[in-house]
Amino acid sequence: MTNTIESGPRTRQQRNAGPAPLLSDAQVGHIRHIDNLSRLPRGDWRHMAGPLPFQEDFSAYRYQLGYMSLAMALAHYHQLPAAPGVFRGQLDRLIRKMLEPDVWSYWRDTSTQGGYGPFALPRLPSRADPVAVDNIMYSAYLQVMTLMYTMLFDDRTYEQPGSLSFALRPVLWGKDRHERFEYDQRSLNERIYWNMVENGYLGVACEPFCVFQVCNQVPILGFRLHDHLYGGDLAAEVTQGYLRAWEQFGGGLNENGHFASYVVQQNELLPQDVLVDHDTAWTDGWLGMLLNMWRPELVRRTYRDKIEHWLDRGSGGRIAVRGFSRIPGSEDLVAPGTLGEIGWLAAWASEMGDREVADGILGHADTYLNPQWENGGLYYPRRDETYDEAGHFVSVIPTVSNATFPYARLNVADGLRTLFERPWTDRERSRPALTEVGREVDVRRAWYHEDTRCLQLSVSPMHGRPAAATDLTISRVWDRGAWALTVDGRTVARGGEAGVEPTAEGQRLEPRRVDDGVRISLELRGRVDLELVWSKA
Amino acid sequence: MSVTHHPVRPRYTLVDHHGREVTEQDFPGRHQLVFFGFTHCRAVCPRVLGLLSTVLDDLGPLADRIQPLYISVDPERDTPDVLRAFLERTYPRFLGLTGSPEAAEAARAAFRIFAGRGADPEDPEGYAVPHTALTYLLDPGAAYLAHFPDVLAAAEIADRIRKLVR
Repeated sequence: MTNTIESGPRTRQQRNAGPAPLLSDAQVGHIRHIDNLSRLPRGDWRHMAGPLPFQEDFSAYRYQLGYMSLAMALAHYHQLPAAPGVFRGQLDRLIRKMLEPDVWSYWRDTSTQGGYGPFALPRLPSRADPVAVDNIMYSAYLQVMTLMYTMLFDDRTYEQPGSLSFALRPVLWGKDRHERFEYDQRSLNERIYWNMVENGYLGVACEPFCVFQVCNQVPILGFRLHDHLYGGDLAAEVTQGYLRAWEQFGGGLNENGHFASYVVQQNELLPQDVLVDHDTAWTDGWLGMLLNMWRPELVRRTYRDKIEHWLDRGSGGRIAVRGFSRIPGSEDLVAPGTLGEIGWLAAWASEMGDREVADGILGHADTYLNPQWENGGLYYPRRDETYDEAGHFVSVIPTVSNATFPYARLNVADGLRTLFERPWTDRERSRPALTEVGREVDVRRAWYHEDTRCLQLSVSPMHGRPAAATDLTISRVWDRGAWALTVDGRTVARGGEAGVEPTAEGQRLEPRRVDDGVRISLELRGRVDLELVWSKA
Repeated sequence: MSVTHHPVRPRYTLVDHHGREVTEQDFPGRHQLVFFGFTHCRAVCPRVLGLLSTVLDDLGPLADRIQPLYISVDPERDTPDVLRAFLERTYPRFLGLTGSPEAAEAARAAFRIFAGRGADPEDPEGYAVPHTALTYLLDPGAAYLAHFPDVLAAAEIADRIRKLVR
């Protein structure tokens, strides 16, 4: 199904030596599907509803939105860095969905705890504020989504006081009863930091008393981005404290060498902290893909042996998964595969640069998981059975379709680690880029080559449509010297101090200056390649 | 409800190592440099107390405007006498504070310090109290000014204090 025009993701070094990445149908299909979901109206969670109620499982909206955002951020950072017009509105809409009560109001009940996992745990008073204490399984994703948005686009929207507000005002509660909790990305970050400090850097609990390694990697990325944007060394402080805190629990690995899952913290019913641990595919995949940010040596050491443990290699290079793990103590609720193991493992393989495994899993998906196209977007419909009649693994949860498969298909080797180590600065954000593009267009290439002063773009009609008409706006064009714009190798306009001068061939594209950029009108009947090249300084 | 953010509210009512009751208001005109720990601690406390002693030496006369405090997270074993013997011997700049378990817990919570109780592999009869190794700087009105993780070098902490204590 993948119609790859050029072979898959490359490393930064390879890219510098050759042409920029050109996305496959499947890759642009994932971006389109997430964009489609981001545009659905409030309360319309089609393609996102999971099998369990109460936002309890890994298809909870918060995880989907969090990893959809991370997948799109990685796609922008590594694949289409010169196309903020594709990602900016989309990532902003995902943040706004994250603020919907449908996503976070579960916390009013979940905060009361009482019995997750193998232990009876104390009941607590209900707490409505979803980021004040615990609930790192929500708060950290919102933290990272907003800080990443600022980092990628230099948009300070979420710095504004009250820009991250959690408001509940059900009509049936009456006129005088409502709840509203106001934060911004800095106060949210600070809140999470102090929760981390108060917990001795072991991590912040998801549901009360339960500190998972996976969700506590996310605030570490958040602290790193916060340090980058605002200064400070929170990430270094927290990671050093984290290593010390987990020493007493085997340093994060269990005795079989798999990643340890979570710690239940001492409480009035439990005399001491207890590591709850089984070898689990979802913990290995999920934690491996995140932990590579700051413990790459450990993850590399663990990867080959441990991922193989969970792979079910079939014919033709296709790979499914086996040995499913269940939520401890919740086996009655969870069918094999519903923790999204296949997606976590594919995403981990992508971060490790293991395209053989990542593409093998995606190949299995394209063969057996019923890929569908809708409005130019690629998705895999939810399926609750584990195996079909022929014995093929067919389970799909929405997180796999909407987030972890896109992540695996669009990430590059050490992709998250690179974003962690080298967040964008003004240097990247000030390069010429595609800032506006019509919705019926797929952007397949968007890369500015610093050395040759050339912006390369490739666009095509949305998958499944024969043609499309669109305006394209390329920004940050002026004050860089004279330039020439070519479309499929033909020069259509030149620019300089006098403004935009269309060539005879370019008249029909109506090239014109807009603010700091240039806009053209295109009619597409297939892929079109554009190059905007500035003369040497 | 708008969330007003106060990361730390440094309040305590404890007993110093001379047996006097003290609160955060009892050091008027002086900044407070506050570190939490316990005298049986073998690694973190000696390292950080040594580090902070170096910082105070580096600050010279400025250190006269700072009251260093060592608040126990192990009040059951750290009586005022135990604290005094421990500090006067090796870290004489510090005044030790302890109190009832409830008062010590309240101080710990006010500073958002983590402290647990766990087995001490080197002392099977005893126990250890793993704790957060943050040092706080309070202003002369006993309001939170800054905190310093133990990963910082003495010179860095001293530089930051110089900018805050004027």
